[in-house]
Amino acid sequence: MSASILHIGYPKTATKWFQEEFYSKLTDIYFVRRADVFKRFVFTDVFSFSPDQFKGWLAPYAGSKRVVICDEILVGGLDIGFGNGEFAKLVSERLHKVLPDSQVVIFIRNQHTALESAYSHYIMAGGTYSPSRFLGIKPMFNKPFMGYHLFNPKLFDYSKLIEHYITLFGKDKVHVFLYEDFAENPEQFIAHFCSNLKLELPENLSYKRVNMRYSWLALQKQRFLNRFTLGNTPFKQYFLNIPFLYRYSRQITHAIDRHFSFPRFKFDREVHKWIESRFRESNQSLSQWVDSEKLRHWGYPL
Amino acid sequence: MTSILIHIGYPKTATTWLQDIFFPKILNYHFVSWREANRLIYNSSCFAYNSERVRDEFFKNKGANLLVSSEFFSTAINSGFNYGYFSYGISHKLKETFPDATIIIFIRRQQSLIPSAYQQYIKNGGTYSFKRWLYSGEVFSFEHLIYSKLIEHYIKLFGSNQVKVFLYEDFKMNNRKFMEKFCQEFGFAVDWDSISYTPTNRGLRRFCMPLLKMVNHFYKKPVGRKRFICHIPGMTTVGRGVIKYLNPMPVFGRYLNEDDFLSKKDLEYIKNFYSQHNRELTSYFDKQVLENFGYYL
Repeated sequence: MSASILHIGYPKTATKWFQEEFYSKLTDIYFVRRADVFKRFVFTDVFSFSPDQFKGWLAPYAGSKRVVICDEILVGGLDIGFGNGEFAKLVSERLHKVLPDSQVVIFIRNQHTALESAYSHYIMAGGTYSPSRFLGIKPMFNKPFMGYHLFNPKLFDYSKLIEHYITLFGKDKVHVFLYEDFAENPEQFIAHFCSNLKLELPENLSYKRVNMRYSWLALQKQRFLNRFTLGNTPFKQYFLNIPFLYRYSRQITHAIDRHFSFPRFKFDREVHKWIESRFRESNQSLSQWVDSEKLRHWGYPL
Repeated sequence: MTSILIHIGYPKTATTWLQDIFFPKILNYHFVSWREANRLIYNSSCFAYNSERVRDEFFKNKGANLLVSSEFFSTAINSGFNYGYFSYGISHKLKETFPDATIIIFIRRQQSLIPSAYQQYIKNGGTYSFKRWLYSGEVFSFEHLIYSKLIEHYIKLFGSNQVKVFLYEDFKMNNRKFMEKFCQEFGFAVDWDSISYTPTNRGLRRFCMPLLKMVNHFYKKPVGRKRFICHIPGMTTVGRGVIKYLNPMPVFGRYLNEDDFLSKKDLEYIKNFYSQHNRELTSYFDKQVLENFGYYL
């Protein structure tokens, strides 16, 4: 049996496509269902989780097949507060205890577009904060523990998490890919990806994007209506919760983008300037694993 | 040899009194309170954590015995339990920094701690009703108060001789006697004449509760989740004023107690949830003692 594959994200790097289109079409692997990843692995409390119990559950299902877990929840951060990395660290250690010889797949994306996408995600989850509040450019609280569950840009300091996984699994087991390489030419990328990880290229793959970033107009409309709904995020300002509005308002947002082609949502120049200086230092260490020319080409803050 | 003691809470077990009044008066220990402890441990990145540097900062070349106290180490009740991963992250940072430390844990019967934590939520700016706070899962998690699991976790990390568990009720019953015994156990030298036993963080009075809830609707500063209509600058100060100046006035009614919050149904729920876990506490305390203090077993 070949080594298992742990595809841990990042969020907003086509993980949904990999889950729904790619891994689910591979026949020679056991792809752990999202519901099982949540129930049996991620959302088992720290005092009750037993690696042996998880391994015992997995073994009869996987048989001799290669195990694949692909979920961006494994790095947390979008719907789970990043805090100071407690969740990401805990999960990485659990993964190592359960599948120590795995190949780890990490997709990264330039922070300018990754954070725009993360912000869109937040608004679609019911958020109301402005980009600068969401990103923490204007801090919400003086006491750090108050914002512990709020989105934290530390999540996108890729090098720290990569280093941590290398420490756990070993340098040759951690594979870092650029989302932009995938987005530019998915067919070519996937062929390379399969040969790299010794996977059989599935037939009839559709390269249609599963998640599209919303338009500026649709997002602003959603943000306004979120003030009248509870939504799915605790960090927001809302006046009252009108029943069902959240569900219908999301449907309207989808419809706007389906039927019209308004310009995509983008941060303003000031926010991009902040992103550029915030991630410059941590991105410089990425050149250990990725060609820095490539990073520059794809607009990573360097 | 220097001794290192780390007091991790739980919250609402006289931690403010210990931190503000008692611990600073211990003469043979260098005391580090929650602000500094949180800065160095709670708020530092798990991926760039330098335990040696943190240890040095704690000692600051003082070389004395060290006493650190922060109830945030068992994580604040109103920040949510989140499957325990914050507790886990902190406990491992503590182990890395002070592998030879002794951990001090205070516990309190859940049906008494819960109303107290809710009052703290309101004091900190919350607006939810008690039922919503308790059952919605948006702020409070019942799992947070399964004491036996956290105690076991620390025992696994530090060893059973290095984890000391105390009952808040024991302290409450006769605080002077309790503190004398407590000091004897850890060899504290204390200036007893300077210790005041007046409670430092009292609950809310009957009519202050609705007043404060109303004020809280007009400023942001959520601990956990809340609803606010709009943020009016200065309202945080008004809220603080209600707690500091109006709450001590008897004209606002008596102090609320647990019976004002918990119905029979709530108590039944709490009993069903915790009794099995509380039975594990009998490894640390006599069953009769726990029962006498009202722990559901």
